Amino acid sequence: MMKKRLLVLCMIMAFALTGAAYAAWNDSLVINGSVGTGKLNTIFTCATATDNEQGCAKVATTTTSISSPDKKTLTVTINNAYPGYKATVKYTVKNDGTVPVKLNAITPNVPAVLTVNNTAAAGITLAKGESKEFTLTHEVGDSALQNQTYTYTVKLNFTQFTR
Amino acid sequence: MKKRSKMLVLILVLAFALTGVGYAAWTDQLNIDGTVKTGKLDVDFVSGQIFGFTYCPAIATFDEDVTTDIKYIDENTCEVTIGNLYPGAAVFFDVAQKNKGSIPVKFDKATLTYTGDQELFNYLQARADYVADTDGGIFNILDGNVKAGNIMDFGPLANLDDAMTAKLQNLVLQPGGWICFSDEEAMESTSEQPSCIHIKLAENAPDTTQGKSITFTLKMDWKQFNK
Repeated sequence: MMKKRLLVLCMIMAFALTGAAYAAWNDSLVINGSVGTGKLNTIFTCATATDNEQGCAKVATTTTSISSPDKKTLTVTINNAYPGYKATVKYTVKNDGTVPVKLNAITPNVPAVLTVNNTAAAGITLAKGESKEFTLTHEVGDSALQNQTYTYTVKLNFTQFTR
Repeated sequence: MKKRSKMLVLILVLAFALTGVGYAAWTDQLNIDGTVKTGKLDVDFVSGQIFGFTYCPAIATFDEDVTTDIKYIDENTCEVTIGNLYPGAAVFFDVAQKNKGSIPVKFDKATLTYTGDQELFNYLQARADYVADTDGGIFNILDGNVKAGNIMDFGPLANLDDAMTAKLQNLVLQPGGWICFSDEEAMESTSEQPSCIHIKLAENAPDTTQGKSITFTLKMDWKQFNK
């Protein structure tokens, strides 16, 4: 009987203490976070072409155009070329995004009959809004055949500057 | 065994996690697409004529007894055949070449190959002039695009190719430009006698040169102007 009373007392005390815990005052602080990501965007802004023809011997032409509206592709077209013909294309790349970029890799795919050199080199960085001019030189080799069309591509891969 | 499996799982998780980081880097790509179309170098004979003549003191007269033929072996080579030539008789022949390609050409060399009787060849003499309209436009001797001159005065026919090579080596023909072996006076039709390549049998040709015919080829090579 004594044991029963003690058990009841313990239970009452336990519930009383529980009630006290619920009754304690509390407060909380809230941190609201907003993360706006930037944009990585490089574009061609201009390109000009010159060649090594002089005087009256001007028969080949080199023209350039930049794709619209994305400005991601520079097209170089050389017509009526011949062995020894050299064309130089100066082009400008602009970091039009909101984060700095790094030129990570250059992937040329050029037939052996053409020599194409690019002053753009891996590792070059462009700050936000920065533009840099590069030069692409072409030379038609002696093994070029007549009445042929040769194509080449150069891919410029940019990554965010931290990578 | 259980420990090994746990290690493998851990490695896999790490590998995928790292792969995820690699792909997560932002990238962008710019492309440069180039097209190079080459031109064509093409110089062809476009016309030719050959006549037998007899030299009179002042005016050459047409001579039907001298037989002549000219044919084209290829676009740069012509073959000339002359028969029944005699001392004092001559042949005037002219060929014209035109730059039918798309790039300028520069004269490289002439090659004369004689296949007839050697004794007769030694008594053949030639002289030649040329006229070239380097841009192929409207012919005007005053526009600076017409080049003309003497290639050689009467001398051994065997020297004709070397003389051509020497005199024409810097001649550049633009697309459409042409050259023939005449002279400016002939082009203006003020000449009293035709001025082409003259080939004659020397006056002192011996009797042993009778009854023989002459056949030679003239090859004119051109190269691209910047070489």
